[in-house]
Amino acid sequence: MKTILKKHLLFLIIIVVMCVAPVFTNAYQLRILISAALAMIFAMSLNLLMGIGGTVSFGHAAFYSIGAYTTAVLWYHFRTAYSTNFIPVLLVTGLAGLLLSLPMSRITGRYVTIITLSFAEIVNLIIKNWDPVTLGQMGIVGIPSVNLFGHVLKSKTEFFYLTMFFVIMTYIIMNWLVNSKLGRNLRAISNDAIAAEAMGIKIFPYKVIVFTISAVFAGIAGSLYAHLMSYVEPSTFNSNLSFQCISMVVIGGLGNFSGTMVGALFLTILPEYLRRFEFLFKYRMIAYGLVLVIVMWINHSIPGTKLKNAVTSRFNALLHRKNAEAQEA
Amino acid sequence: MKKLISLLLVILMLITTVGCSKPEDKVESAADENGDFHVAVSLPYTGTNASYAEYIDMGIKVALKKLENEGWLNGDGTGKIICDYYDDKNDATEGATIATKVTTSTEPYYLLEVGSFASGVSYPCATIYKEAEMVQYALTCSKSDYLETSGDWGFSLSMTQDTAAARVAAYDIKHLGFDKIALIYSNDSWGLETCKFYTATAEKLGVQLLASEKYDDGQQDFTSILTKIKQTNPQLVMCFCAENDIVLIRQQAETVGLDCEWQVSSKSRTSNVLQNLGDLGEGLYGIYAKTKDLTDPVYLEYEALYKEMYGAKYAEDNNTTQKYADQGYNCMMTVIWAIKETMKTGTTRQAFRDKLATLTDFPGVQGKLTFATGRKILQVQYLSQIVRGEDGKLKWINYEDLLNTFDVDAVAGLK
Amino acid sequence: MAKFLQILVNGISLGSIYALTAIGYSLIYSILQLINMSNAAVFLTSAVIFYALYSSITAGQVALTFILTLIAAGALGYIIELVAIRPIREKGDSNTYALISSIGVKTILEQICQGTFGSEIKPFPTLLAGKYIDLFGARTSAIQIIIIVVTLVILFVMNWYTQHNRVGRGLRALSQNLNACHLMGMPVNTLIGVSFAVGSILAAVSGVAYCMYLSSISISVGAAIGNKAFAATVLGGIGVLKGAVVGGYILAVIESFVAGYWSMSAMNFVSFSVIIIVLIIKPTGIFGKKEQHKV
Repeated sequence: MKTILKKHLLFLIIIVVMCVAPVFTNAYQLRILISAALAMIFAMSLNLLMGIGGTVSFGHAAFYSIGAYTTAVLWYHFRTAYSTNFIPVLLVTGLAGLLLSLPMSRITGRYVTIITLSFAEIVNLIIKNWDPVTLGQMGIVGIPSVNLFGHVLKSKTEFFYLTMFFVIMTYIIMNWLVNSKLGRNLRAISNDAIAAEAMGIKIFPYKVIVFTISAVFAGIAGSLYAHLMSYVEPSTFNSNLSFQCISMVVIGGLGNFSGTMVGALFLTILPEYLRRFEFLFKYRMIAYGLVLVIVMWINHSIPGTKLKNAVTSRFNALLHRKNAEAQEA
Repeated sequence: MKKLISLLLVILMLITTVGCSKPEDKVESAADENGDFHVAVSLPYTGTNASYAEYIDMGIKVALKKLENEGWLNGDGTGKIICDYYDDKNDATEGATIATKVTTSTEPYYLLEVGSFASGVSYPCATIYKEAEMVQYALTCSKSDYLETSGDWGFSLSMTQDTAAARVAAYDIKHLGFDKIALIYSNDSWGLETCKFYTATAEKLGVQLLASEKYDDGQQDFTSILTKIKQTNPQLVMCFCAENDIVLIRQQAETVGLDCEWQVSSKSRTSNVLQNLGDLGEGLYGIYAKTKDLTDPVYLEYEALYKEMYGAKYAEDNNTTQKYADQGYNCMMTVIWAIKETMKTGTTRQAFRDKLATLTDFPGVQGKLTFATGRKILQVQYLSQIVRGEDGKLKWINYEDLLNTFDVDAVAGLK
Repeated sequence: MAKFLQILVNGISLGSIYALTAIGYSLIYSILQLINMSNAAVFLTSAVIFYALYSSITAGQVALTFILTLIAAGALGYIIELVAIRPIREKGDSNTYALISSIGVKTILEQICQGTFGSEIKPFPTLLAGKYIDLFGARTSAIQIIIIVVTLVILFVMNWYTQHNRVGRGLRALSQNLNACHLMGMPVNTLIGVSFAVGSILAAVSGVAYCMYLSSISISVGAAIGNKAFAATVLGGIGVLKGAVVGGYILAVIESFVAGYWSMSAMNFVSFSVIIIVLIIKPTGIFGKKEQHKV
C-alpha cells in the first residue's frame, strides 16, 4: 500500500487538487480545468504510443477528431445519447488505430512519422469533404450535454467529474499496461527491436495493440471534447493540435504518465495565463515552441544537463540542511 | 520533487488567471464603481482574417476617441467605456473559451461582447452568450440562421447570405446579362452558404453554373482550378473569397490565360484589392452594401477623426477609410447610443439588449441603420465596379442609379 | 491536349519548388538521420526576409535582395543547428529529442513571422511579369521557365559540389559514415552546421521562387509547401538527394493532374494516399537504401 502511494504520489495529488477545485473556481476557470483534463487523457494516450511504443506520431489529432466526430455525427443523424455513442466511439477509433498500424509492420524509424502525418491529413480531408455525413466545413452545431442512460449532465461541474473519472481510468489502465507483460514487451521492442525479435517477441501484433489502445483513449478524449464545445469543425483538428500534444508528452517525460498530466495542465493553463500580458498578445503561441526547445535543451544536452544537476543538487543540499537544522532544534 | 514544484506552479497560475469569486448578476447597472462600462472585444487578431480584425479594431477605437473627446458618457470625463481586446485566432475553440471567460468575469463585469469576425467563430459561441444572457454583437456575421439560433441576444450589422448572395446572382444574370458563369468559393461556413444561395437563385433565373470550385483556407495555388474553369469558357467568374484570395486568383488567371469578366462579393470589394491588383483590377465587378455619402456630416466627422488617428493608413488607401473600420465604428456608435439611452433607468445587460433591438434610422457612416423584425439588418446593395477615373486612376464606383430601374429584390425572388 | 500540357507544366514548376526544399530535408537526414522540421519555417522566413529587404533597403534590386536573403538564410540555418540541434546531438541521446527541438524552432519561427509580417497578402516582385510562351495552347509563363531552369542548374551544381568540392565531399563523407569522419579528424561540427546552411539556402531559393510564381506573399505559404516537401522527400527515399528531387516532381505532377481533372479537394487526399501506398510497397521510398542497424 505504502509503495503504491509513494510511486503514484504525484498522480494522487493532482487528482485530489483537481477534484476539490470546482468549489473554488468560477465557470471560466472550470472550463480551463476541463480542457486540461481532456488534454491529459489525449496526451497520456500519445505517451503510450511514443514513450512505451517508441513511435513518434505527428498525427495523433486524427484519433481525437474521429472520437469527436463519431459522437457528433451519431447525435446529428440519430439523436442518440452519449452513453449510446460511447461504444461506437471506441469501435471506430480503435478501428482507425488498427488501420494505421497495418502499414507499420514493414516500416521503421523515421518513415513512421511521415505515415502518421499523411494518415492525419487524410482523415482530416475525409471529414472536411464528406459533407452528407460530417457536414464538411460547416461543422456540426448544437451538440447537447452528455446524456448518460437518460440522466443529462446539465452543469459543467458534473461534466468535469465525468472527465476526471476518465482521467483516473486512463492513468490506471495505462500504468497497468506498462507493467504487464504487454508493456514489458513493448518497451523491449522500442529499445531494441532486433534484440527483441531475437528473443522471440513478434513485433507486429504488439504494434497493432499499442496503436489501437492509444487511438481508443484519444477518441474518448475527443468525444468528450465534442460535448464540451457543442460544436465540431474540421479545422480545429490540425497538425498544430498534434504538435501541442507532443509538447505535453515531452515536458512530462516519455513514459511517465503523471509527468504527462503535469505537462497537460501546464500547457493548457499557460496560454490562458499569458493572455493578460498585452505586449505578448500576438506572440503567445511562441510559448509552445520555446517550451519544446528549452525542455529538450535542459534534459538532453550536455550543458543543459549540467545546469539541471547543479540546480537540483543545490536544492537538495538546501533541503538536507533544513532537515538537519530541524533535527538539531 | 521537480514534478511537485511544477504542479504547484501550475495551480498558482490557475488561481491568478482570474479572480476567485463566483459571478453574480449585476441587478442595477452594469457599470463598475467608477461608473465605467466594460466591453469585451473578441476578434481574429492573429491567423486568417487578421487584416479584417485590424480594421474593425481601428473603427471601434475611432468611436471611443470621439466619445472621449466629448467627455465620455457623462460629458465631464466620467462614465468611460473600457474595452478589453481578446484574440480568438479565428478559431471556434478559442472563441468559446473567451466567451466563457467573458460571460463569467466579475472583475471586470462586461456589458456586452463585440465579435467575432467570421460566422464560423461567432455562430458556435452564440449559445454561450444566450445562456449567459449577454449581448453578442457579431457585427459581421452573415449566417442565415444566426439571429434565430442566438435567441434574442445576437446582433449583426451584416446582411444574411440568403438575401445577399441572391441579389448578386440577380445582378449578374438579369442586369449584366451573363449566362455562362463559373463560381469559385472558399470552403468555409460563409463560402458554402454563399454558394448555396447564389446557385439556387441562378437556377431560378434559368442559369446553370458551368463550374463550382471550392478551395481550402490558406490555399494559394489556384492554377489548377483556373485551368479547369478555362476549359468551360465562361463569360464571368464569380468569386466568393477573401480580399487576399482574389488578388492571387486574378494574377494566376493571367498566367493560365483565362480571359473573362470577374466579380467579387462585398467581402472583397475593398481598397486593398484595388491597390494590390493594380491594372489587373480594371473592370472587376463587386457588390457594395450602402454607400459612403461623402457629404454626410456623420461620415465627415468620422473621417476627420480617422485621419487624425490613422493618417498613414488613410493616405496609403488613397484617402479613404477602410470599409470594415466603418463597420466597427458603426457598431461601437450603436453601443454608445444604447448605453446612453438606458443610463437613466440603469443599464443592465437586459436593458441594453432591449434598447439596442429598437435601433431605427440610426445615423451610421454608410447610411441609416435599422433593425427590422427579428433584428435583421436591411441594407441596400449596389453593383460596383473598378473603373478608370478621369484622372487616369483606378477606383471603385457604385451604380446607385441602377436601382431606380432595376428592382434587384424582385428579380431575385426576395419580395 | 492543351489542358493536358498546361497541367503538366504547372506540375513541373511546382515540382521544382518541392524539390528544392526536399533536398534540404534529405541532406540533413543523410548525415544525421534527423528530420529537420524547421526547414519549412526557413522557407517562409526567407520569403519574409526578401520582402522586408525589398520594401525597404534594396528596393528595386532583385538580384541584390536575393543574394542578401540567401546569406541570411544560410546564417539562420547555421544558427539553428548551433543553438537547437548541436547541444542535443552531442549528448548522444536518441535523436527523437533533436526532432522535437526542431519542431519547437519551427513553431517559434512561424510565430515570429506571423507577428511581424501580419496576415495580409502583399504583392511580391516577380521576374519578367506577363511574359509567356504558348506551346500548343498551353501557356507557360516566363517565371515558370526560370524556376525550372534554376532548379536544374542548382541540381547540377549540387552534384558537382558533392563530387569535386572539398566541403561538398566532406558532406558526402559525413553522410556515408559519421563516425569515421570524426576519426579522420574532419571538422564534423562545422560541416554539419554547413549542411544546415546549405539546406536553408535551398529552402530560401524555393521560398522566394514560389512567391515570385504567385506574385504575392502571405503567411500560409510555408505550411502547405512544408508538409508536401517533407512528404516528397520520404516518397523519393529520405537520405538520397536524387530521391528528394524525383519525389518532389512526381508528387507535384500527380497533384496537378488530380486537381485539374478531378478536384482540388481530392488533390491532397490523393497525394497523401500515394505516399502511404508507396511506403507500404517500398518502405524506404523509391530510391531509399535500407538502413543497416548494427546490433
